[in-house]
Amino acid sequence: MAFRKIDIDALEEDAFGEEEIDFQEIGELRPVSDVESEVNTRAQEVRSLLQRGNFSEALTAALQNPPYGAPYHAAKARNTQTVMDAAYQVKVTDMTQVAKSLSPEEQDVLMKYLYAGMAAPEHYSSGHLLYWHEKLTEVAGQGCIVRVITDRRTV
Amino acid sequence: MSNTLRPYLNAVRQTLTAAMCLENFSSQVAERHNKPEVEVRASKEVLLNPVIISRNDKERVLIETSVNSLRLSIAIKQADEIERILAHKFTRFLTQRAESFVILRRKPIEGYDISFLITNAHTEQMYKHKLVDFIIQFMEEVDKEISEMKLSLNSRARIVSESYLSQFN
Repeated sequence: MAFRKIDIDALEEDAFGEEEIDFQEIGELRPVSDVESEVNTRAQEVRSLLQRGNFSEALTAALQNPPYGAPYHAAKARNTQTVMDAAYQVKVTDMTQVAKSLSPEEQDVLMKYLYAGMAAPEHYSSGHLLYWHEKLTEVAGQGCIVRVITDRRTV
Repeated sequence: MSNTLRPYLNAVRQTLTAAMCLENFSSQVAERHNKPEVEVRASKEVLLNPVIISRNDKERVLIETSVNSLRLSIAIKQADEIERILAHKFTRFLTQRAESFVILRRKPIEGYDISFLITNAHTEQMYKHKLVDFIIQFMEEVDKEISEMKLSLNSRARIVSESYLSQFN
């Protein structure tokens, strides 16, 4: 139907659009300022844990409550930065142990952030993320990757 | 830099095996039609999240999946002008013979050098782990081929220029 100009299915009244699908997955969207302040507090908490040398706890704290939802672009970028800061501090030899200490949900969230980091190789050096990916897949299995690809709540 | 090659290929292999879960799915838009949904992109619900695996900002792999098809695009490392020309010629050679290749796409996706399209029909006819092995081997070999071609090009150019200019000596 390349010659048709109007996408009639999108204009239909009952059309099941992106917002409805997101509402099913994520629920009521909180105001942008709330989410941004939560992300900023989390960033400070992670930074103080990193300064004290608590890498494993810093990573766990960074992976809590990721800002899912379409309107939160700035919050998502900020949160990705926080998770990357925590992930880069973990040495390659400690990665397996840290990955095992995460709960399954946290492992899925970490995998989402690994892919988000690799999608921007100008900002985040991919070498360390690749080591993380290898260790996390060993611990969490390929199911973790499948959940990242299929979950509509993107980070 | 080669110490990131093994984790890079590992990550691509794991992600590809996880993403290559394809099954037959008829088109929801036109009855009695069966199209690779990742190409048509008509229904949002059958498309999965695209995923990028990168080794550095020059080498990347984009994997887009849907319920019945998977599209994999590779950005080959091209350090200078000669390598850019060689990579272009090499991928052109392959894409012109895309029909015999079966899983190759004739046009690469924007921003990438070569693309593969794997559908459920391919995974039914061929072994999934063999397809993944092939893609990984391809990624390894492409870099080797291009550096080999560049070396032979440079040595041929040197020999030709020497023998030509020696007559003016």
